[in-house]
Amino acid sequence: MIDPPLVEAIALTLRLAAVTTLVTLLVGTPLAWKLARARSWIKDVVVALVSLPIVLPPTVLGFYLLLLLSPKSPLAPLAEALGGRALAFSFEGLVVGSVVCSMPFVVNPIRNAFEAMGERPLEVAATLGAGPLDRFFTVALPLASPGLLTGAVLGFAHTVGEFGVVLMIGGSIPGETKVVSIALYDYVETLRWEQAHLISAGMLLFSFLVILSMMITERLLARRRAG
Amino acid sequence: MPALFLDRVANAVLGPLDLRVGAGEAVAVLGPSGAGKSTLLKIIAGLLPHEGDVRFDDRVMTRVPAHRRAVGYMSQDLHLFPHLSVEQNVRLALWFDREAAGERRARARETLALCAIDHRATRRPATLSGGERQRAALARALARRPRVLLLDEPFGSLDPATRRTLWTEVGALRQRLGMTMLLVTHDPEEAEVLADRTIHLRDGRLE
Repeated sequence: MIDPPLVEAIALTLRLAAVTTLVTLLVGTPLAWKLARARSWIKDVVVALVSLPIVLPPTVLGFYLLLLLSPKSPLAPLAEALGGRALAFSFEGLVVGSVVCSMPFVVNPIRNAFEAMGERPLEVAATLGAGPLDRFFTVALPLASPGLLTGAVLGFAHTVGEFGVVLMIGGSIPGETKVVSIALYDYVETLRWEQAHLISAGMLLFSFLVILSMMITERLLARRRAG
Repeated sequence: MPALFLDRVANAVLGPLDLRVGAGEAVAVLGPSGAGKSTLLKIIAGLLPHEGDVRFDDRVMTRVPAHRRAVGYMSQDLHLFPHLSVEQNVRLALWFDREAAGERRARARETLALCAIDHRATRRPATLSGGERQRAALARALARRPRVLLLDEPFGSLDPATRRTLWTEVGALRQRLGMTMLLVTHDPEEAEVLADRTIHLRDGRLE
């Protein structure tokens, strides 16, 4: 029997992952495009910054994000002046943290896809009358669609499984910040093994299905292009 | 007045170079690898920065970006968009010009028929033969009815029979559409068949 708070945590996790994936794609795709075409040394600096969450302990990242999103942060007066509030221990704060954590998993595959595409299709499109925006939307994005798909899936899956950052900046507020990874931790702490098993097995199956569906979709996309 | 006029055009591998091509004239550019033939076409298409002036019908195009130059450009690697059908590839070029949907459809079908590839309109590029892909790319380059057509060794990868067929058809199309044409080739016979005159490039300069 699934615990009702667990259902709430699952719904919250899916909402967080969906919002995070959407925001990360909206921010990360133009960023990946710029990085793929940049020739300056600044590119390496930006790539390193974006990729930091891959190697940084999530608690370290979570600690700095907590400081940044807390009511005592230097940004708090600015947020209040704009009609907002400090985002620590709120769903919006979790979104900010998850976007930062997921960014490399989204940006890097998309950047690789843009780089693999090369300049020639864009040059051909330009000679056909495509301005910069047309080239991006009608040529670059469709040709990079496998990278976009990989980025979206990895970003979504990574958000679902994120623990350290979420714990640091969100805590464990039911319905607001208590996602499944936090719920699992709570169940283990209180020795509720049945619910812990349920979450763990569910996450295991989910992760497997994510990777499998990504591989199948990529193969279908390649087959569709081959006619 | 020349349809195409290059005045002291130069970059790292080319020129300085002067060239006049009359309206409706076809000029073949011959020369060894690395002579700057493709660079010349890319400069005219607006794809490479350069010194000097490029003029179409006495209008200076030097600062005009590639997408506003209205040239047809086709190279050996073709780069048909693999996610689109043959007809969609052609219609996309007209969509970039914001032609109305009805006009796009009609012009695309007319151009596909002109290039004898209308029977493959719904197929994806990956399913076409080499010659069919060449026809599809040519149709795409001609869809906007450019006044200047730039061909960069477009037939190099084809078997001799298909190549000769396409020479005849491209020659007839050029006459019919009244286009000015610059053709980069290694093949003197191709230059002889398709061009009114030939120029030779070596080390970035006209011989």
